[in-house]
Amino acid sequence: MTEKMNKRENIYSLKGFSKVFRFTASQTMKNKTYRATFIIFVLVMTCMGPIQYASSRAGMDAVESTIDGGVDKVDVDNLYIVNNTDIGLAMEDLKELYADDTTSDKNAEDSADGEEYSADTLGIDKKNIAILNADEDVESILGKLGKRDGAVIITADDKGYHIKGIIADDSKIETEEIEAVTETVRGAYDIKRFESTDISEGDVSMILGGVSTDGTIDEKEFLNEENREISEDRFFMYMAGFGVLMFIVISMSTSFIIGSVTEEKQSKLVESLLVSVRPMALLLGKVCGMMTYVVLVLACGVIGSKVSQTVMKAMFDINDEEVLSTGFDLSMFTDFGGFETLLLLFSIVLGFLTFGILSGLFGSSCNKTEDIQNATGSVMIFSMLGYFSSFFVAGTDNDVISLVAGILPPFSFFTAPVAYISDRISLPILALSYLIQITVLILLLRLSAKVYRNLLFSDSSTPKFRTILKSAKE
Amino acid sequence: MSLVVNNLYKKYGEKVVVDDISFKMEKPGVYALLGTNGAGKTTSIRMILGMLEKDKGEVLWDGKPLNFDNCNIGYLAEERGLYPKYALIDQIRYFGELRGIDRKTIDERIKYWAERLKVEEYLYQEKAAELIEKQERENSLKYDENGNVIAEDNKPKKTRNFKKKVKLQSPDQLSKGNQQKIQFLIAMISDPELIVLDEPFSGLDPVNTDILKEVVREQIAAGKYIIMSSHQMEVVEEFCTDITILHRSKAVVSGNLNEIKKSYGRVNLSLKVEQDISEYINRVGAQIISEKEYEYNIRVTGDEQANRLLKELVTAGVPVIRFDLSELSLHEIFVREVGDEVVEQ
Repeated sequence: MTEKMNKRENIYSLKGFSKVFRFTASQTMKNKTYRATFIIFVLVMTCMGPIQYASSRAGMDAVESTIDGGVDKVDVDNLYIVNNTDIGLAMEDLKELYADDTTSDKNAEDSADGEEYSADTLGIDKKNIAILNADEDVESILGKLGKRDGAVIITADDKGYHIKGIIADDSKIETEEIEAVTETVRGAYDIKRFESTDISEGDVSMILGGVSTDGTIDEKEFLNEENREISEDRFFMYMAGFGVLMFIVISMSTSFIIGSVTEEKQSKLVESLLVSVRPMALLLGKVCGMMTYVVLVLACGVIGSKVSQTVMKAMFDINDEEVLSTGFDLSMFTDFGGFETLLLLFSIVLGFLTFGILSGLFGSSCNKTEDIQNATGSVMIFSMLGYFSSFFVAGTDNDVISLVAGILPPFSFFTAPVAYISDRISLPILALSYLIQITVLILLLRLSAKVYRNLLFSDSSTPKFRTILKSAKE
Repeated sequence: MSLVVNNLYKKYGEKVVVDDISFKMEKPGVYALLGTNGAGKTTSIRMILGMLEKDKGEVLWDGKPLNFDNCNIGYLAEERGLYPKYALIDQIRYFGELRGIDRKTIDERIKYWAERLKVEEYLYQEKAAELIEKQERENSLKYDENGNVIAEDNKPKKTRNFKKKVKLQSPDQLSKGNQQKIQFLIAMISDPELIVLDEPFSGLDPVNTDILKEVVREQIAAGKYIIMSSHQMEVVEEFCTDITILHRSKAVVSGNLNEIKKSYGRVNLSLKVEQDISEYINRVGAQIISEKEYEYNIRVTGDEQANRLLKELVTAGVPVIRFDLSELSLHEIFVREVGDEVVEQ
């Protein structure tokens, strides 16, 4: 009878939870290392957008200059374009060589010296460009080319059209400069030759756009894809973005929780703590305290990212699409309604708690500082599984895979909400997924209530799940 | 109020670490749990406090299973521990709040105990600043050969913000003794009705031992229930009314200390004379434990043998300066019960 009375202690009581939570949160905020992490993370989130934009601009400029032969402007006194074909080429077709009043008003205003050329053209004076027909004496023209003169000859034979750039033997024009001119004339001539076949401007761009091929897919998948509101690309972005976010949240707290539990165990502080608070409340308070810090870091990071995006938009005159492509992509939280956003946040909390409790359990089985690494590694393996699964699900975009990953933990923590908001799984499946996730969390909490105290007093030095389960059996 | 511990039993794998330990505290006072290293004292304490699950047995406080919901417990663990980098005052407040004490009361109690235990300079910046100023003032004085102050160095006065800028020592910078005093403060912060002190005096210097002894005396006078585990027998003897000696997980002696001592009889005889009396001692069959300049410590079988020796000495006309027959000390009882086996081990 009295033994039964002894068993009646409510090990699941959360008395003292709020105090542990408050203490953990406040001490984390006071900790210099965590303050430094906070500042660095927020700075990274804030500066990531501008840096990404600047580096992508530099990359694009490099690509563009490579395509142009690395030339923005050419220094040519006279340019002769000799068209020996039936396809006519007029001065207005060659706007990229020069700029006139109508095409370059804005750029001309921007130009420091007020010259009449656009920043997007090769900057040749329109007056110095001469378009010559086939009946002109090409040889006499070539013979009088000066040191800063150039010519572009367009010919045709039974093999196709040919465009050649020519400069004088003693020319001071760089090879890259005449190549840039030839390439520009080629572009304009290409468009003219398609137009000469009486097809529309739209058709011309379709023809020049080429043809792409996709892998063979079955009929059902094809129809699914056709009916999807969220494209494969957007799905990839949301799923991978959520996976990364979840992984950051978990990895930021895992080592802290394990370290903190081990510190209390090693310093024997638990002996004093456990006469005032029950193990489950102690662990949950610690995990939630840490979650407050992580959430605050993320919230400040997001605000920083948004602020820098707004500043960039104003400073660089770039559009929304370009802004979104820089910094951390948080569009999954803004592209959907409030309910979907709540689901995403709920999933993050659920995942954090589950992995936090798991970290605490592994931490309680550590005895030495070296054990902390093993314990962190074990938890990280679980979270890595989830992290990679989000990329796998994103990459395959297959309904069956989305369904399986959305139901099975630990994958479901990383994939289920995005699969739902992207219409890859239905609401009942998401509800089932949450049910399983909550069950896992409750089981882990019950396990911690049962074994945490024993593990804290044990001297086992193998932080493995096996040790934890063995302790539960005992 | 009463504390009843019935048949505590704990096994790790095949090894029994606590085997059927029982004792009772029906009135306030100090109960000592003694034993050799690894005898099961700390495991018993952990089971009593509900930190470890009992395989068998029960612990009742006022007739109900003991836990921190129905009993205000203060516990000083054998292995001291503080968060190494968190501010001490925050840690003490945390423990106080966990015990459900409001912040105002906690701060009042911290102030009281900090003064009592002489740890104010580790908790309050102004006290740390005062100490620095005092030390600097003392260092600036010059003395003559008779110890009289003859001059004082003129040092710049501290700024008004000095007290706020003084950095308190972090817990890991404190000496072991001071850490222990802080932990004692934590144990006392809730003004507990049941105080469990596991080796409370180990690592303390004589001055701090006296401070702590005084506090324990006050707590006894205040009607607290105290369970104490210690290897310092003279300290235990000073405070405890009841004891249990554990050896190899079993209780080998248990009960009221006076009763236990009585049960061993008065067998220690301290005798001071002015000549060699070895012959008389051997004649009555007593055993000399030690002898120094005619001061003898003798082990007798009881009152009868001691009286026989006294009669022999008086009859022989040997002047007896001191004749003191006493019971075994706790130390001797402890060694007698577990000592031989410890040596064998």
